[in-house]
Parts: sequence; structure tokens; C-alpha cells
Amino acid sequence: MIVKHKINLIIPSEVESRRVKRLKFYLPLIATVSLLIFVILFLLSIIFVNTNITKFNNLNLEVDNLEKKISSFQTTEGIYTFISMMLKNIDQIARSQKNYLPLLDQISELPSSTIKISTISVNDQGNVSFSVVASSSASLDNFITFLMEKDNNHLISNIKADGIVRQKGKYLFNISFLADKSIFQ
Amino acid sequence: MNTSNLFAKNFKKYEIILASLLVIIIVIFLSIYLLLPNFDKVQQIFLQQSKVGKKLQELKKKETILVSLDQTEYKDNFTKIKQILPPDKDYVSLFTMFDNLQSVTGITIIRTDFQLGTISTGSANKTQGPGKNIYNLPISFAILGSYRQFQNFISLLSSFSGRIVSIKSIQWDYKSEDLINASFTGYAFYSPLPSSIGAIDTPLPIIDKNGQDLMSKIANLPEVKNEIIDGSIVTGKNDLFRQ
Repeated sequence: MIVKHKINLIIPSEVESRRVKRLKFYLPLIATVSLLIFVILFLLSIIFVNTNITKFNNLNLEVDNLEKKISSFQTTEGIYTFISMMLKNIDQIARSQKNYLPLLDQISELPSSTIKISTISVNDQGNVSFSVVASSSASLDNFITFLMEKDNNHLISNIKADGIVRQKGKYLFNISFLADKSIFQ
Repeated sequence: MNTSNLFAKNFKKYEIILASLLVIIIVIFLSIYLLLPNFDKVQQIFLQQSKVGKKLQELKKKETILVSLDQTEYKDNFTKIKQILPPDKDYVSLFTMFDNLQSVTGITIIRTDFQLGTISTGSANKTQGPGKNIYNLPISFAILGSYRQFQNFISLLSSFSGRIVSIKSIQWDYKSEDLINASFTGYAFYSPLPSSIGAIDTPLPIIDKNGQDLMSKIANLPEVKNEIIDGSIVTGKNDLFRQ
């Protein structure tokens, strides 16, 4: 009796897990895409670098040439720069200068027929002071009234009179006031 | 089944996964060591290009201005501006200015006092003026003249008829009806020039309308020559008996 032996030649198929199946599907895809992207970006970057380095070198060359040209104008540049600085400085000084002329015009209007002004001083703050000799109390009053009118017209302010000395029928006194910006700036 | 067979079997089973992973790792590695430095280079080039581009624009602008400037005119103006605001104390120009004012207005200058301090401008203690790099030079002087001459003198002193002067105070008294004796205190100014004009790509300063007006005003002024008396004064005869 012949004994039958069964030989299974088909390799039993191994059941792959779902994860392995998914990995086998996605990983080659990711690898291919990333490789492609890498190659494209790498090539693009090389092309960009090479093109722009030439452009950059040309720009630098242009800058060098211009710098050489500008160097030949160094004297003019120096004079121009210094002039610009000095003009700014002169303008600053001119702005800080005070114009005394309108104030002097006002002072020249003072009634000088009946009073005698011996000393006048003005400073850059607009402070004006006088040493005055008046021949009579009327002329003294007249002088004060004149100043008060100027005060009312806002041309001067802060009028102050120091002690009035009566000597040999004459009135000696010192008077000071502050000139307004409209006549002293 | 021996070990090598098992390995071969597993390798064959996962070879796609392994190969893919290997490719991904290589791509990551190459990206870090090749692509990223290239990107960095690209960025650097971009930055440098825009920097050089801007520099080029500035230089072109500067060159256009410099080419358009009339060097002779600016040289003349520079000389005149230096007479108004010299780079050093320059007492000679102060004396010259007062001499000119005296001859123009008719007043008599009876005293001048310039507090020069240390003459060597560079090392001296400087008194700061009304702006950066402007220094004060205290002056005081006295004049004698009519009220009209006095007013005229102040008017010319405030204009650019010589050194720019700022009056701090005036005190005057009447010697007679039309003769006044006035004493002034104030400042003359000087402004040292910088030793360099800056880098070549430094933009040129712009002279604004105010500056232009001031320059044309100064340009129209006559040039004042500082005359220093030299040793050519006639001293007389050495021999008394010679004709």
C-alpha cells in the first residue's frame, strides 16, 4: 500500500499588518517627493547664486568706479560740506541775535526836552534802565505818564522806579522796564 | 531556520520601507549640509545686493550733485563765510571789522577788548555758543558818535558786514546833545572745521532754502581783506645829517 504524502509547495502567505501596509505605500511616496523637492530647490539655489553673484560683482564694480569718480571731487565735497555746516551755524547765531533797533527807536522817542537822561543801559533780556534828571516835578510826571502809555500799549512792562532824590530843585531817579517782544526780539 | 535566513527574509519583507527611510534620511542630511547653506547664501546675496544697490543710488545722487556744483563759486563763498564765522578765534578779522565799521559809520571806536583766552584754539577751554560746534569769544568795546551813527553801527554790526557778533548789553550816556559814548559787551563766534568730511558714501548735506538765501546774501557781500601791518613802516633816516 502506497502511503500518500502531501507536500504543500505554496508558501503560506504572511498577513501584513495594516500599519506595515500603509508604511509600504506612503514612505516610498514621501521619499520620492522629498528627493524631487530637494533636487529642484538645490538646482534653483545654485542657479540663483550663480546668476546673482555675477550681478552683485557688477554692482560692486559700478560702486568702485563711482567712488573713484567721487574721490576726484573731494575738494568740492569738502567745501560744500563745510559751507553747509557753517551756514547752519551762522543761521543759529543769527537766530540768537537780538535786534536792538526797534527798542532804540522807542528810546529816542522819550521826551528829552524837559528831562535829561544821563545813562541808559539795555541788555539781551530786554531790560532797560535809565538814570534820569528831571528839571521839575511836572516834567517827571510827564515822563512817567509817557512810559505808562507805552505800558498800556503793551510795548513795555514791569516799570520800576528807584528812590527819587530831590537835589537843588532837580529830581534824580533811576527807572527800569522790560521791553516787549514786539519791539525787542 | 537559521539567523541569516531570518534576516534575509525580514530584510526582503521591509526593504521598501528601509529604502524609503534611507532616502528620506539622506535628503534630510543633504538639506542640512547643502540646501540650507545655499539658502543662507541666497539670503546674504539678497541683503548685500539691496545694500550695494542703495549705496549705488546714494553715490549716483552724490555724484550728480557734485558734478553740478560750481567749485569756483563755492570756493569764493567759503572764503566769505569764513570771514563771518572763522574756524578759529582770528582776532585780526575782529580788528579789521571794527576798522571797517568805523570808516563806514563815522563813529570812533575808543576801546576794544577781546577776551581771547588761550590763543591755540585746539587745546583751549572753549565756551559753548548757541549751537553745536559754535564757540563764544567774549568781546567788549566802546564807541563815540552821534545817535544816528550809533544806530547805524548797531545795524551794521548785526548784519554780515564782518564777523558775526551778538550784542549782550549796551550802555550809553550823552557827552553832549548829539554825542554819545556807548559801551558794548557781547560775543564774537568761531566754529572749528571738522578734520574729515566722512566716508565716501556719506550723503551730502542738503543746504535748505534758508541756507541758500543766507549764502546768496553772503555771496553778494564784498570781500574784506584782513590787512596785517607788516614791517614796511617808514621809520625815518638812519643818518640825521643826510639829505
